Amino acid sequence: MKNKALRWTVLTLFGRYFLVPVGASVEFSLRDVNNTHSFASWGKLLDEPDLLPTLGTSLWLAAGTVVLTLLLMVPTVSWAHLRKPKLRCLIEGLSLLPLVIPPIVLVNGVLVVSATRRR
Amino acid sequence: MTAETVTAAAGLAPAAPAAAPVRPGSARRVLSSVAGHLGLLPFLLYTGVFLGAPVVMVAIGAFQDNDGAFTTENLTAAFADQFGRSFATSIELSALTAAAGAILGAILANAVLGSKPDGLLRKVVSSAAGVLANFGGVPLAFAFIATLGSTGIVTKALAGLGFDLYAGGFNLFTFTGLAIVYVYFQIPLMVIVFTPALEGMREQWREAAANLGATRAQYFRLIAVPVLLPPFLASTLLLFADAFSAYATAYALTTGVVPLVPIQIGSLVSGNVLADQQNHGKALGLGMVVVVALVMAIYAYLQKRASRWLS
Repeated sequence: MKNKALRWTVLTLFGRYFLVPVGASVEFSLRDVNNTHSFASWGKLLDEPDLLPTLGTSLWLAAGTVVLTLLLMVPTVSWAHLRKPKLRCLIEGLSLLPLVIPPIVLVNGVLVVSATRRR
Repeated sequence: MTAETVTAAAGLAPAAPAAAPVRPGSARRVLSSVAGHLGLLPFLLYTGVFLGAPVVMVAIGAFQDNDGAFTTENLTAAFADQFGRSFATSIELSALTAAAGAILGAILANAVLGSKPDGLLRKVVSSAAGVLANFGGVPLAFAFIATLGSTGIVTKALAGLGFDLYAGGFNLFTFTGLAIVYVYFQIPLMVIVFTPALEGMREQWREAAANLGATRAQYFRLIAVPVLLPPFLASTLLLFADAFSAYATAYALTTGVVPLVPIQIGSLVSGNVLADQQNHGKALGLGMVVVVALVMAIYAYLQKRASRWLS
């Protein structure tokens, strides 16, 4: 796009589209009764007894995923890059699969696996 | 005696290496080639157990009744009545949002590429795209309820201007609303997957075309579009697959009012249905895998076409 004005109009419009919902989330969380704003909801959140354990579980799960991914993929990818460049396509293809195979299908399959083991 | 054995050994010795490669050598080569691929083993094992096995189990389960006997009843059910409709709705929603996301994402990617290659804008957009493409589920649903819900910030702003969105027939918790929300993560994904193709367009092609007297429209029609069409369509298919498998966002927003295949499977998995339908979810899952496999096969073909010009 050569036209600078047009380019910045496009960028501004997209910027708004992406920023408004984020800003709206913040505003929504600060709403109080009778069109006022306060930190009341945030205060209540801190009183929630389940907050820290659930936050802990989420963070723990996220950290575990990252560590497992790094442990599995860094050696595999470096090895393939140095020793078997031809396998790059295979690894790329397989790595794309979790993005497109619906997670709910995998969940269904995993449930089957664990169910048969239980029986 | 010693001399004889020496000569015999000497006579044999040259023969031995010559003969060796025929049998033990080839076995060693096979062995070393297997050993050479051992580095792939952990990765293959992991994908096999957590990706391959579940898919195989779903495929097998789709053809079994509750007692494990062979049946095609699950598959017939998966394409009839409400399940069949959910396939149509899912495909319609994914195709619509993939097309919208692809076009808007390509425009955005092109606008961003006009800026300095190592400028701030590029960095901000690429990291924002990475975050937003993975934005989904309850947080995304919440963001849009806060924006376009009945008391959302945009709804209220428009009402202040005298335009009542909800009286005009709009509702966030329907197919239309879902489509608007899906485009929110489709555009960033398009920016991520389509930018490399745009970057592969060489300035020399434009110069060469200009030197030969081509107008800008001719350059666009005869060079840019044919070169960029395969990667554009491939990216669109990726967006389709992404929308097709999205579950949490749709569930959080509509709690199943809009019938989509992942939501149907979800309710079958969590057991909100009759006991004799337990393998219907697997039949639906198999249906999804088949749709995705078809889409990815075309994707692979288009990628191959794309790599002819853009590497």
